[in-house]
Amino acid sequence: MVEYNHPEDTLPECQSLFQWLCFETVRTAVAADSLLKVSIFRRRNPQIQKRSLALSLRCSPMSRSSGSSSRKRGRPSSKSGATNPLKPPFFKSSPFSDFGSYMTEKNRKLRDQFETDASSSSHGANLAIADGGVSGVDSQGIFKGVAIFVDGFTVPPSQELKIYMLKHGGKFVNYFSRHTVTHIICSNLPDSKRKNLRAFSHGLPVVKPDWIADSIAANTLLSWVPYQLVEHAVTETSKQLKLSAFFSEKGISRSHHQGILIQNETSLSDKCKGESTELTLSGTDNFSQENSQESKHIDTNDELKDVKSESEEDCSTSYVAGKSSDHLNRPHSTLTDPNFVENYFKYSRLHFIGTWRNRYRKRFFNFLSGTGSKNNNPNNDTENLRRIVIHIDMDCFFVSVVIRNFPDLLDKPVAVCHSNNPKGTAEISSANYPARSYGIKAGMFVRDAKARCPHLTIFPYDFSAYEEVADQFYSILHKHCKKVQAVSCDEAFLAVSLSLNDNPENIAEIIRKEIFETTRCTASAGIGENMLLARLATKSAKPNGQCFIPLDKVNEYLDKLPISALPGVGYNVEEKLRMKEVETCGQLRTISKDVLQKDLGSKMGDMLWNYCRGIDHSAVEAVQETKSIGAEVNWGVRFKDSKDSENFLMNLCKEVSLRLHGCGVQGRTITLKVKVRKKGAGEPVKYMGCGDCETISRSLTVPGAINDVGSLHRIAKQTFASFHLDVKEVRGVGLKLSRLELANPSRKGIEESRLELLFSSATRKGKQPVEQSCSTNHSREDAPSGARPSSSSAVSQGSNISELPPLSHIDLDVVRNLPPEIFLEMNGLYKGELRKILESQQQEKEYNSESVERKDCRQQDQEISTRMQRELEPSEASCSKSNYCKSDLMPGSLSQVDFSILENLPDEVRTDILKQLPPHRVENQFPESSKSNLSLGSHSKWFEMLRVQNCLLSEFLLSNATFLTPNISPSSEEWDAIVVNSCEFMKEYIRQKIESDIEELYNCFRLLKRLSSKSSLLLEFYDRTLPLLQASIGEHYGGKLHL
Amino acid sequence: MNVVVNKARHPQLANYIHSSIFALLPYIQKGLVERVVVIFYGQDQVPLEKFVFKLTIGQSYQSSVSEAELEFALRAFLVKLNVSETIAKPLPSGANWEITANFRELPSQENEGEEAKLWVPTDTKQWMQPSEITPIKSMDSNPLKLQLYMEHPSVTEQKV
Repeated sequence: MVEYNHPEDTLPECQSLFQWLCFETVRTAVAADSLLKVSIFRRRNPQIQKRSLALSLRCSPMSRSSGSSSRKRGRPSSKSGATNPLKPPFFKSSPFSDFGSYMTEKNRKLRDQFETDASSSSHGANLAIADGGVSGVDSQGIFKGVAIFVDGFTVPPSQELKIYMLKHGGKFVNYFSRHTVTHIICSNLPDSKRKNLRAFSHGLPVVKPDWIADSIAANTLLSWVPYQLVEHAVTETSKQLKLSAFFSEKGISRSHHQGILIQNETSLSDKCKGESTELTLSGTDNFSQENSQESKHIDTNDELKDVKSESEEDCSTSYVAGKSSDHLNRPHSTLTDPNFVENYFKYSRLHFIGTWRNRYRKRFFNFLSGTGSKNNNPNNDTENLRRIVIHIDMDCFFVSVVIRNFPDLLDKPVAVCHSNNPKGTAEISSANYPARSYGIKAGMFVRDAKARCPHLTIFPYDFSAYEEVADQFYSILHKHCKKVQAVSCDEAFLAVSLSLNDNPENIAEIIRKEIFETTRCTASAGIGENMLLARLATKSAKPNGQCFIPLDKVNEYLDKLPISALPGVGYNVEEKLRMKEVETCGQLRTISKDVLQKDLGSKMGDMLWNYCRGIDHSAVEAVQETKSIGAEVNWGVRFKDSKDSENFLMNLCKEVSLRLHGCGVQGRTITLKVKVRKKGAGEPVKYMGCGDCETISRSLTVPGAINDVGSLHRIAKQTFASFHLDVKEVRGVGLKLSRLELANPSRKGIEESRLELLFSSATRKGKQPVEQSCSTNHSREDAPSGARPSSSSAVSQGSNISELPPLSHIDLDVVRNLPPEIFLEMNGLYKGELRKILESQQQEKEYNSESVERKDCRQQDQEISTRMQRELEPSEASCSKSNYCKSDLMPGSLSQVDFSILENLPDEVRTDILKQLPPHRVENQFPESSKSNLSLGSHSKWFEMLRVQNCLLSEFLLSNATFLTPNISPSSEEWDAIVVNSCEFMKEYIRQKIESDIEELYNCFRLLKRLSSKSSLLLEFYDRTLPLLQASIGEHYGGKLHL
Repeated sequence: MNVVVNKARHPQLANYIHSSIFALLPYIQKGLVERVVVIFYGQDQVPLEKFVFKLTIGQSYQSSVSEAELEFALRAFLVKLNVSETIAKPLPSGANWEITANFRELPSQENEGEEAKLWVPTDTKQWMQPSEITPIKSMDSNPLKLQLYMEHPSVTEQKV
């Protein structure tokens, strides 16, 4: 009850006040699902001595009602205490003694209206509707004997349903009564009604509005059973619902606005709450009002007015109903549907097309492999054959396959889409030619299509039929031609060899005829000298025709052809050419090749130059290599937290892995692509679509090809994590594998053994030493990824292809010191090889130290002396363990100073430098053990030592010359081993330094040269390594070191 | 430390050097320049001596090296150039010189505009034999790797 007292002085305001009051009350009444009464009375207020007008709208919980517009007119309550002085005569003579009689009268009036509408409706059928009961109805429409009561919001709206009923002999009941109504139509039910269906429906069938639409489409009264709204009836076989709960739910949801509301409500987002606090109404009211307003926004149709005039409360209650039921089960997104990925691809047309090729290849494998031998023969024996290319394309394949069973729909506009919701944002995937004449195109939203062509019939996909027809199609093609290039499931190129007098149109005619007879779908054919002409010809052949462009007509044909018709000419190229005032191929021909190549790039320019002259060198290929395999989802992707995204990635990886297995291949490069909502972009227009997104992708190349879920998931997860994204913003994820190799179990063995080889001598195998690989990675990285651990620094940002560094490039010292989690991850990336290496290294070390001990005895006395020396040395020596990259900035010790400069410096400066520098660095830099076995032990140890100690070989040589001359007799086994080892080491050292520091190499070899005069071992060493050095210098610098 | 680095003083020469290097700067920043070579020619336009600066620049290196440190390193680098006189050979009279740059890849003309036109392809004569290389100085301070070495025609070629 809303009451408002108002001073009478301001009577002009009363009108608007009254309206407001009505509105408010109606809304309240809606919420309470109750009847409302309006009473207007005037009373005298003795205290204020002013007359005031009191308006009172009273809601009484009697029965459901609708039609607020009629309510606004109002009826004075007989119970109101005061009589209304304004209109007493009317109400006194009113025929209604009570509410019941009023309703009876109203129902009668509405029925009369409906009848007159029906008889005047264009349908012209005899639609006499008898008073009262159903039994008396006598009509010829398909809905004869059907009286519907529309409850709540429906698609199509109740007004539209009313018109349908008018046209087809049904009855539309405004007020529910168990006796007059035969079917209750509603799209959604609130939870409470769903639970207590019998009480709500009184045993009458509760049917989805699709029933009516489909019945009209089929022009018979279909059984309502499959269209029951209740969940347990979802096992039906109806067309629309075949797409399972996943997509049929989409049919129910009306618009993305609703989607937002629900989402907001479920996730308790602030947006909605904020709005509700603005209005001093209850939350439900807020929703209903908002929804009803939205319905006006969305409806661009003519029904707009109808909806408005329709009782507001009815509308809004049903919105509430719709909302809660949507809330109940809405598995559209990754949020709710655990099998989202699986379902997504199950119902994706693009996926069907994408995977079709695989199926085709398997099925027609014999044809494909057989082509080679059969093809050669005709080519060889006859020269007067000419090659003709026929391009065959089914006419609006997806539609015509579906409607071949409905011949009466042949010339009516029909489209295929996974949702039949006229307000939905589902995209039309294919439309037939009558529909295209309305401007309906593939990719258009259903609601736009419906706006252009309200009587557009929409069918769901029928994938099994597509497969069947595609198979038939290709069987025919293979029957007539040996060389078939499959473009898609409904499109192919045929290479035909004909003798000169044969008319190529005949064979096309035969093929097309056979296709039509077998599949009952039409196909168009284009015939030309090459693939380009054939394809162009098909365009003018469509629909259901064929076109032959003989060689002498090519120029004529191309002259008028707009450039956008050429394959490969997209928006950008067209725009660029339009700037040059080129719109047809004829005009394009006037431009020289050079100019084209300059403007559009060499490839594109070359292609266009050829194309506008009708030249196309590409040959009809039977089998095309698969370059990459992957899966991408960018519809319905919404994550709440990282767990969701992880699950999703897992599922995606499963899907990709399945596909890889299906094709029997493995991939080496894994590319993860993520669509992220652009900053500031709102919720997309398309319901659950991806909207305005930024796409980021990153790829990773692993050493061994993979196709198992585990590895895929690990890499995908890692890559995904490296994006550092807010998962809530993610709108699409794609995973793709490229660099495919045939999955061959025998290969794997080789791979593994190769890896083992790699690790048995980690440093020897490396193409680049560790430091360099690190630094080159740095320079390769475009975007900063400094936060990442060094092990993964090779993963570059953006589209740059990056790869896992080969195991040989990994600094094992670093690996050893990594935190266990990172190590585990790395180990995972290398499939556990890392651990193996480390273990084997450990063993090697132990072995080495043993052998060292044995050999050490000889040099023990020398060692003792050095040890003593070391003890005497100040501790500063260790300062050279500074950061490697800074070694050039400030010399760590005097030994690093270039004496040639020092000598040339003025005296003061020299003393300055000498003072600043730490004392001379000494031999104790190098642990004795390593020193003694430097030339004897494994070269990798040398190498490691040099790196760890961060010094240069030349310094070492300088300071340790004496140690390098062991007394070993020449050409003994030991001698050989030492030389080989040392050479191996030097090779590695050269490799490491050749790019960055030839000065060091130069010094080394100068020293070696000098030392080699004293030691035959060093001489041999020098002689052996010098050619290598010169070769590398030649390779990198194009010269020889001048030693 | 105030290590003296010598510099050309003749205004025209200094200007020439400065403008050439400055024109190279955008390419160096992009990492396109591989080598900057100062070539000394004899009268017959055959190169006698080349001073090669080989550059490797880490594009995305997050520099932890202060400017002062880098300057110090570069000073040290250039000081070495001063003392490399012993390696250099006396030039004949009438010798000439020029600055050339070796690019890793040719910069695209369209993008560069005016700057690109400042540089013309060189028609330097090549030595027939691989040159003799004498390293002068290498430095590796991570954002910038710089090597300086001299190239001389090989002994056999000199005789010819």
